[in-house]
Amino acid sequence: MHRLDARALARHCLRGWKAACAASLLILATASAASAVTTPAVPGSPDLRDPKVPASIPNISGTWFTRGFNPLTKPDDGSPTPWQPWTKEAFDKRQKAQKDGAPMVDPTAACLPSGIPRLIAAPYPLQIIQTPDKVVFLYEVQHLFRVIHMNAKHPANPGRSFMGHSVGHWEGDTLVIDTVGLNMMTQVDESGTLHSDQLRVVERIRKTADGTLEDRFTIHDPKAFTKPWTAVRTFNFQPDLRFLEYICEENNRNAPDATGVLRKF
Amino acid sequence: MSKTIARTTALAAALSLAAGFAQAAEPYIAGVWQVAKPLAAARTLEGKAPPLKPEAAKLHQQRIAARKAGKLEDGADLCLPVGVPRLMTVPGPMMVLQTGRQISFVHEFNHSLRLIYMNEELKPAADLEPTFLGASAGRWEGDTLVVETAGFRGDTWIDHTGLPKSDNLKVTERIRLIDKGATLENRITIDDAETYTRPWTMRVTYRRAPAGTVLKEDICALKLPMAAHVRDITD
Repeated sequence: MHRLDARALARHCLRGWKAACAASLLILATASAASAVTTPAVPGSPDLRDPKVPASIPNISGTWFTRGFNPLTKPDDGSPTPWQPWTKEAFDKRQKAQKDGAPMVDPTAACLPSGIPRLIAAPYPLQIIQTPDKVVFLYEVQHLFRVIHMNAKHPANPGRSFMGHSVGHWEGDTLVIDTVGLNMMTQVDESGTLHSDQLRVVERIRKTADGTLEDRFTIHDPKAFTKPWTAVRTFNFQPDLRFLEYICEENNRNAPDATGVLRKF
Repeated sequence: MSKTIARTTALAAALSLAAGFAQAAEPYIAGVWQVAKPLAAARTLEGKAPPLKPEAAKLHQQRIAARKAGKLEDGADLCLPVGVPRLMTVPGPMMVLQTGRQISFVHEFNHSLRLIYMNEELKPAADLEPTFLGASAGRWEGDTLVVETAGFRGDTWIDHTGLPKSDNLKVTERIRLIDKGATLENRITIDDAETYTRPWTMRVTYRRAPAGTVLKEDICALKLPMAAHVRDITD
């Protein structure tokens, strides 16, 4: 039940940008990681690997769930976010608008994908499925998916999309993902960290000694930040966790109406 | 003691060998597929109109007329999931991901996901939370992937024309490779005593998408009026 409550709350948080909501979510999500609703284990391996993936390839497949949620994504080393003046100004403006009870439009309130890198921090389960030439991420939130093309190159013109174009390769036990071609309809995080059209995200994903999954992602965006910076999100392995059906379009309680006015809860 | 260990080891080896053979015997249906012929309207295997009960037939005719008049409210236009089996008939590539534990259907269309949990019993309908796509359990029967799906909400249709179903629908799909692996066949049985006079079966086939086919990002929500306000978040 905890998990359901946390997720129901998360839906409103993601749409509504409510700080209080996010704070309670942080507590709930942390609690729910320990007491999640699960279904009986299926006999056999909890892995989600295509049988044709060679055994020599590291295994990060399975169902994962974030270890607590924080709407703000910031450098992991404790240093301040290396803002360019305009991203700092935009962030402060969004924070103030929220405090004043009139939050600015969040693209996810219009049921648009949170995109990369914001999706990495989503407080919903995800699955990682390994195939011989791809790593596919499936997400409960907005039934999104991401395809990582292994040992491939970006096309000359990757276009622009919410998920961008991702290529990956293994460096020892670490999956390195390079993502380019991201559009301008996303935020770096829920709090209102913005990016420019130069955004490139490099993720380093590996299992840690305690069996959790770590995604260290570096934001390269010289127009938005004075230098690259790295954030971290970690995930618990929850092989028996099942996706719930998440239909944003059915319950847009906090979406802007046809005139762009944001409705209140 | 050592004899027991030896026996256990031998048994485990035999079992894993058997499991290995069982796995090797399972067809490999992973890859990117595409509906061979977009389905205009669902038909039985005999090519006949589905055996609708009178009330449901009336509703279907109303929907067909509304579609003609451009007045049919189709959930797909609101970016809602189109349900099962309609999702299995949409145009656009479908990526099948195959693992021992789960078979996943990843559709380009409205980035739709269907997760089929393998080798487990489907819960009784009363225990399933009604959803657009229902809950699915799968198993291999020889060369055929059998997927049972139930636990539906009533507000989706069998096909694009608005062929009705109730929320007591049970769908059984029998999916297998034919044409030496060039085609994936899906025989879909519709069991819905509220809507039809008897269970009936429709057939959909998929061809392998050309090598290198990548699923595009199909964000239906971009078509909704509210998306107009977030064309560029920095504006």
